[in-house]
Amino acid sequence: MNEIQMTVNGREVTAEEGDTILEACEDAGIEIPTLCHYDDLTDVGACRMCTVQIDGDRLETACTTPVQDGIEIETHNDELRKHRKMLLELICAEENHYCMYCDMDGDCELQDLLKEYGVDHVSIPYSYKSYPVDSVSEHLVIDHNRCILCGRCIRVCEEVVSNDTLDFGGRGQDTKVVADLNRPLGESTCISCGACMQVCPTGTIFSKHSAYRGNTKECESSETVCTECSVGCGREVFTRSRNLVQIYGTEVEGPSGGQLCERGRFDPLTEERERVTSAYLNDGEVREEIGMEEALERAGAELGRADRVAGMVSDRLPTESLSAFENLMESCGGSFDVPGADGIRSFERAKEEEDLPSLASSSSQLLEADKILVFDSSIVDTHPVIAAYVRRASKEGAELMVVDIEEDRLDRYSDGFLKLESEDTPLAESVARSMEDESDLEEPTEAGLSSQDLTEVKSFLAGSKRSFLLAGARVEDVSSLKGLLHLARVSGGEFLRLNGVSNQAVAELSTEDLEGEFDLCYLLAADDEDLEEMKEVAGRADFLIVQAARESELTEEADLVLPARAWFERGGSFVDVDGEEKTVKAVLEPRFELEEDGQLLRVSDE
Amino acid sequence: MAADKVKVATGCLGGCSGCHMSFLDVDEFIVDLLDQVELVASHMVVDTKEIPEVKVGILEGSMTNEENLKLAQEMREKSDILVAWGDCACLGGIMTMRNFQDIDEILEETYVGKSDEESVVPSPENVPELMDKVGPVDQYVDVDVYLPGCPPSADLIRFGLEELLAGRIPQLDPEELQYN
Repeated sequence: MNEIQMTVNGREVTAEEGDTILEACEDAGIEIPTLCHYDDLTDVGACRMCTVQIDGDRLETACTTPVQDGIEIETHNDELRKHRKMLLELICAEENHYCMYCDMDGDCELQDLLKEYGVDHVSIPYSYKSYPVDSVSEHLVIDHNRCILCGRCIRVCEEVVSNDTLDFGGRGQDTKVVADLNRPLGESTCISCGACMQVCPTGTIFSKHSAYRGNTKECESSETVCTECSVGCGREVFTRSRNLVQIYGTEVEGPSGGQLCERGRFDPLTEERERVTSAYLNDGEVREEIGMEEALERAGAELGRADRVAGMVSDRLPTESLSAFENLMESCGGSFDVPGADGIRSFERAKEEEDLPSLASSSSQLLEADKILVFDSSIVDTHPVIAAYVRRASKEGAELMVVDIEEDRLDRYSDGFLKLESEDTPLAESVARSMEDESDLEEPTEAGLSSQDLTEVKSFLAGSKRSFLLAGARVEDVSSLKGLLHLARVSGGEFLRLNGVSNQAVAELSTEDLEGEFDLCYLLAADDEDLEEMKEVAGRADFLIVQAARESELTEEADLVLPARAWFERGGSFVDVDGEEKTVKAVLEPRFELEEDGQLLRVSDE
Repeated sequence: MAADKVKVATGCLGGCSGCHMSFLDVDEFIVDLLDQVELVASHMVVDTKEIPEVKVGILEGSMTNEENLKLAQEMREKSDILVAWGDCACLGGIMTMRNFQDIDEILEETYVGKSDEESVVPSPENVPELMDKVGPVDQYVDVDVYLPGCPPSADLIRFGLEELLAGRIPQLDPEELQYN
């Protein structure tokens, strides 16, 4: 990189060739006002707030103009101030920027600039044009009357989430942000990740669950990690009066920075299940509330009495809680499992029986791929942020092929799709063998695949510089996983497995398949919503203890219910899909007296 | 010593008098103020039909009807310095919400059949006719000083008056600007 010398406000500044004036000034600690600029998004010079004066003459947007050797730049003078103030007044005259009835009042980048530039009146007649409000989506509202057309939402949807839902529609004064071909957001291809809301500088895009409950500046915030899946995105949780108000993605450098998905951002705010606030005995008709100590004694007695004990523990809990549960089960001679852990066990077996390919060191490496072969496109539901990496890689030039037993959920981005008849179709193994010994492809028996299909996969993988094989959570039988490992190895690709378990520390636990009948079943369900696996095991036990933060079908069935901390009250460590250990922090203290999981589980085995 | 006092007039256009209420929150400053100013017209405390010549004229509220227009024009004519108090006078304010609806529909919704079955939309002879669009004061007459806020705080109002009495046009600290 060549160094460039220039003068900013009379000061010598060294910049790197290719930097924009804005970047160079930011590095040099010189502040330039911006509105449409957002870190990590392409700069477009839409708002023109960052206009600077070059060589005492030219006015250029700092965010899109590259530095040049020897130029003299002024970032603040009377002329620029006049221009910026006029731009702000034009914005105010065009749409409705009256703050009184806006959710973002006090937390708005436009308002900050109006203050900075002393806009106490608007010298241009207001247009009083009325724009529509789109409130069809379950989570988001777009009030086009507040929109300054900076395009940040469009760029984040296109460049980071790579879902390409938002774009500009219309011309001139009728320009507005549209979803797909001008459809209501709630009926569009929007995946409700909420990234657009997070980057919106005004009150245009806001969340229904958080509106008018206090803006981010009025709330307390703490940073934690999302445990909804194994990606472990950074979460910035805003609270007020000990209530959850808003969840943002933590803005850190890197591809996942600021990203969350619907489950991580909105679902916790729509929680409606009743909280379990005390222990109780349940005989199917009457609930008898009992003290915590009595409940723990009772649980201990029941555990001591039972011969065959089974346990199940939520995969979204921190490692410490999981270990405490494991200890409890060991101490009473019980066996236990975690929902989704059979997928981990079968992968472990596959790894033992098959030579290993290189395993992807980090999921964000997908962005470096030139070919990606996805087995099971339900990753868009189970690991939405990783699905975003796949879409983004595809948009940046990688070839994408999807193999699935149902539809191709990455349809808009994939270059090829193969539908399998069943989960254990030996597609990967067949292709791997043929690649290995350069033999012709044989059609796998009873699999409904033609040799043409197999050739397609084979030629897809041939000649790639850096290919990835990605296996989703629904690929969980040992032979398919072995086939994929084999295929990755012979094709020289990197292998990435996404299982259905959130905290990957589960792999270290001595989980096992729970078969047969039990005297007692202990379920630590926490605030899980998908309770199918737990329900199934519970049905095979005589006595059921459920420890949960929320009432559910499980607590209805339970003989003894114990309260548990909710996700926002629980801290600990969490191992993500890349094997990195992250720290989950408690965001709020429980409103009633409630020990941490470890404490409760220790007491109850006495 | 009334002759030495600065003559001030205030008026309320399409507003709620909230800015005037906020002015009263200057508390004991009002005593010092009355040593220096003479309030010659003010809709709540001075009974006058006409505004005399004044140094400072103050208006709150937005321009919503013909009567507002007359008052604003008269105030402008009689004042050396015209001050706009509050969001309505400076920026249009909450009244501008009606700009997005049909006037006739609003009037019908407000009056027809409301007090009794016979009640109708009043005629322009009885109540001032609404203007097509509500707007800030400076859309019709020139304004010299803007103090936005809903309402502007008593401190802001006091600062504005003190600066004017000192012979300066008030320059607001950006941090003091309010938009709500």
